[in-house]
Amino acid sequence: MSATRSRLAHVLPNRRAFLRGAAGAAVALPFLESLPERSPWAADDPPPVFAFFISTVCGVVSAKFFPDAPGPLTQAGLAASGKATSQLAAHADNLLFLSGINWPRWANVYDAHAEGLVAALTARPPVKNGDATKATSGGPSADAYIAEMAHPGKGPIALYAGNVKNGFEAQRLSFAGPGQLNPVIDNPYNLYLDLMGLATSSGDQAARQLLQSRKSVHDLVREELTSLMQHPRLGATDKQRLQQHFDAIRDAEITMGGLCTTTGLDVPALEALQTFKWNAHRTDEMVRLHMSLVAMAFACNYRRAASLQWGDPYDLTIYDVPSNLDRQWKFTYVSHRLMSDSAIGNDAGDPLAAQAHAEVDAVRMQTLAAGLDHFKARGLADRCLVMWTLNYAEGPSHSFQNVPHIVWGSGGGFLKQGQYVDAGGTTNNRLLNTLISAALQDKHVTVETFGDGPTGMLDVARR
Amino acid sequence: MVGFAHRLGFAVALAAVPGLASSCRRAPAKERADGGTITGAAGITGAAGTAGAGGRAGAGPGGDAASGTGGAGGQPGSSTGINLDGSPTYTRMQRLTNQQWERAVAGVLRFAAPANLAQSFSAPAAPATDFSNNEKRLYVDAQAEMDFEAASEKAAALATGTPDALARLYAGADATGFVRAFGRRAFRRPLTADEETKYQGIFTLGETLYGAGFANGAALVIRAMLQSPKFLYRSELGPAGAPLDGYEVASKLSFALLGTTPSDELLDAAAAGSLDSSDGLERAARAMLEQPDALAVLRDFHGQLYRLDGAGAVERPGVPAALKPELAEASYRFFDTVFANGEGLRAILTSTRAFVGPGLAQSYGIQPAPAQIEELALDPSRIGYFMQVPFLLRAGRDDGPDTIARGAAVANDVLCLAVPSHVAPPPPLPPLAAGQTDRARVEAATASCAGCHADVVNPLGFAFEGFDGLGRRRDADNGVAVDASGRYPVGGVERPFADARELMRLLADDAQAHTCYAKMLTGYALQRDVVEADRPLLQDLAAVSRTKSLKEMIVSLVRSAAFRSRPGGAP
Repeated sequence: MSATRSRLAHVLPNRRAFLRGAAGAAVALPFLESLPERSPWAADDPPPVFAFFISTVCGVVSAKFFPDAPGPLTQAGLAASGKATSQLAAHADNLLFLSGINWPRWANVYDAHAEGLVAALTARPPVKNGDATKATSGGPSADAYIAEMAHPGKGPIALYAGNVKNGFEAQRLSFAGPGQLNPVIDNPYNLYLDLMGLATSSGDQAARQLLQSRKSVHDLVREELTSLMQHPRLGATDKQRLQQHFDAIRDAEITMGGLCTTTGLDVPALEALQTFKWNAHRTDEMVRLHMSLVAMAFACNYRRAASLQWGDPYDLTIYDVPSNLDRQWKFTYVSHRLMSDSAIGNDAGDPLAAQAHAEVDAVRMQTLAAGLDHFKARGLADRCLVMWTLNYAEGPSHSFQNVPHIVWGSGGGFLKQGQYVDAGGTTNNRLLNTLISAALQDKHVTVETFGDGPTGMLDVARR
Repeated sequence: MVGFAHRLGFAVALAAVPGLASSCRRAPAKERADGGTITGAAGITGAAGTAGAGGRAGAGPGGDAASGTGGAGGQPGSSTGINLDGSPTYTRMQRLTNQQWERAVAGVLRFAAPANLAQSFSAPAAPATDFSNNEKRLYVDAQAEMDFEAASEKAAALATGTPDALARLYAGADATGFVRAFGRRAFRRPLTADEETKYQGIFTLGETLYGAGFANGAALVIRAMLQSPKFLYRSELGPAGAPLDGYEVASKLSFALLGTTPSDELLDAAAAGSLDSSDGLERAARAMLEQPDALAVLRDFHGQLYRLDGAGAVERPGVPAALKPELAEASYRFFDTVFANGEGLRAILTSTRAFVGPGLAQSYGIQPAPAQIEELALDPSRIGYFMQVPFLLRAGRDDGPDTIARGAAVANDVLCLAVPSHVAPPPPLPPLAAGQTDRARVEAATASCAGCHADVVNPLGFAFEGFDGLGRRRDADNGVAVDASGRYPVGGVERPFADARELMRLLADDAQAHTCYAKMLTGYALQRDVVEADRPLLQDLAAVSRTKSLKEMIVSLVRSAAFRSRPGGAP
């Protein structure tokens, strides 16, 4: 197993027990007729919102990425755009594209690869930690912030798709606080284990026993709570507390219903990763598996926030796109237009690399679309937001201006959907203020001062 | 009386001086229970300043001579200087804390070893309170519900998973007897006939679902009972102001003193009516106070009150790595000993003994250094916890003492003065000028904040000038002889002191200090905010504190109406 296995495992025996069952049986949970048939989270007002932040690396080919101009997004229109994001057409109704978002300014950029990643979810200038390649954060990242507000002491699901052991820069995305890098899970099999426990052959019978026994316990506890709430000497505060307890049981039951299942997981592919060794050609495959697991984790109310670093800062991924098939350049070289980690060329100097980069962008959008399919299948569009961005905007320029952002999901009705908007050159803190506020609606928290930059949310992103 | 004028003037100054008010205005109270750093002025101290004191009242009007609650030395009563403006909810359904849940489960299931089922439980976000066990912080939300459910299932599996575990759980194999016996332990009272019927039905369902066999039926009963509100909450459902019944007071006593569910013997005593009198309750309390679990509860009390976990969490480049593991442990063991030896606040403030390990020995100048942490006599110039290295180091900087943090800690933790936190971060202290002492620098930097600093924080903090940022003795500060003298109103009279030792001796006789300690103990034991109606109780407990011990304070508290009766406050 990866040495970077998350701390999640040793702090979450309760979650493993929940999805596995005390007897250790694999849980493939059918939707039982005996469970209340209602929309998930309908009981809560407002319900919890789940937030997933993804940053990939090495920029995009801007001219070929987003549609030509801001405006409504439709499936047909996006599919016909001829841009990399046309791969997301099936999700157009739930998408928000944002241009015009910049990283905060800092005096000297020593290593845009690392520093850009640090800024992506913290919205703060990075702190040079001795060696510029070890840039660290000046504050928490958005995923950690949400996790701490929603379930204190239990961090986000922090994931990595790439060669986390490359010894150079590795993870640089999720921070619990200033300079406090969160450990990451790079092998999706390890996340699968954290969520599921070990599979046995007991299968559905054990799952049914567990659900039926829980239902009976819940019925009895609810009866007792109802009786207590009628006690003449209980005051309003006590009754409210008991009602809160009553509602919490109902929420747990709903969680157990249809959406919190292993349906849709590629279990054979996950189990084949038991002897995982990093492979330069399999980064996007890991991304898809990670995303499928995060979707299930959210549907099971496992964690409220997650993050995924998609690629190494100096990405070692080799994309087998047509224009890179012969060269087999790692993606950093493609994005630099040169076979160099430090020197940077230009499109005119290497049009083949430029073309390869555009092709990689399309592949990455296909991967993103496949991952979002899992969120859609679990009915999370209204209860979730998935933000995708990069460490910097463009390959050769490494620019921190106009960094593309894609948001999927309404974030609990907070966010616009089906739109491509121009944020007008504002800093990413305002977008993150908006997304964090969306994610924390159930905590009645509005965040306007996350990171560095003008206070307030980004109105163009809000419904 | 000058002393009272100072206290009153402090409160007035905040309102009258706009500039002062804007920087010294009271900010929302900081939770005490996070074990955070000692409050200092963030920026000025250079410490990772956490704002504010935990929910403590500010200084109010001076002593009430009519109350007659003077202390040793016949000083006029000044214990009324503590505001009691809490807002308890007087819950009748007190949810168990996570730690109480863990111990109660281990108790009712007769675990042979700790199962650590609650270690991953979430702590609900809550309003600022003095202690983490405050009623306002304890409720079952969605996350807690899932925590309890999963842990109950695991507990049931552990309790029924082996023959030995089953034998400890229940000696027989009959469902009726098991439901009755286990139910009494879990619900802390005999089950009603209706409850016995329902849970026998659960037992039968367990066998139906999982197969015939005592373990399967028992496991489902355990799961159900551990999730029942009758286990998760300690209830007080009698008429307002009426005495708790025997089972209710047994639960309250056991959770307050031992942090766990009442034993079979205590339940038997409740059934026999032995706990219906204050004498009977006292006997039970005295026996409990000699049990190891009582030490654990009081360790948690002192740990939260004085933020002892923060002692080991100091992150400063100048702190020797070898020292860090000793700081928290030496602190906790000091307070353990205070309790176990039948001492109290006076010893906390004036004991000449401390726990010292090899790292701390260097700081104390003790030779030879002990191989491991043990109790030693310190140099007589150091008395009490606040002159021990763990406190001084935590309230220290790499370039010297953190005067403001030390003064604020004494003000908040010993005297229950709520030093307001800064609304805007104060500017950092400038570097020391040639020949300038830290004291002079602090005085200059806080000159515009006289209401908080000159009257309260600074005099208390300057008393510790004789110790550097690592808690080591020093006689000179930047080449100038240390001046640790000051004046402070104690017992309603402004008293001079030459150093921290003299200050600690003064505070050990101060009614306010003992009343503050009484207030904290009461809030922790009753798991609620303390209010004006509790003042007579606090004065009684403060009187016990001045002349007797913490154990005697607890016994007095247990005998009080506040403990034995359902309060008459608004629910």
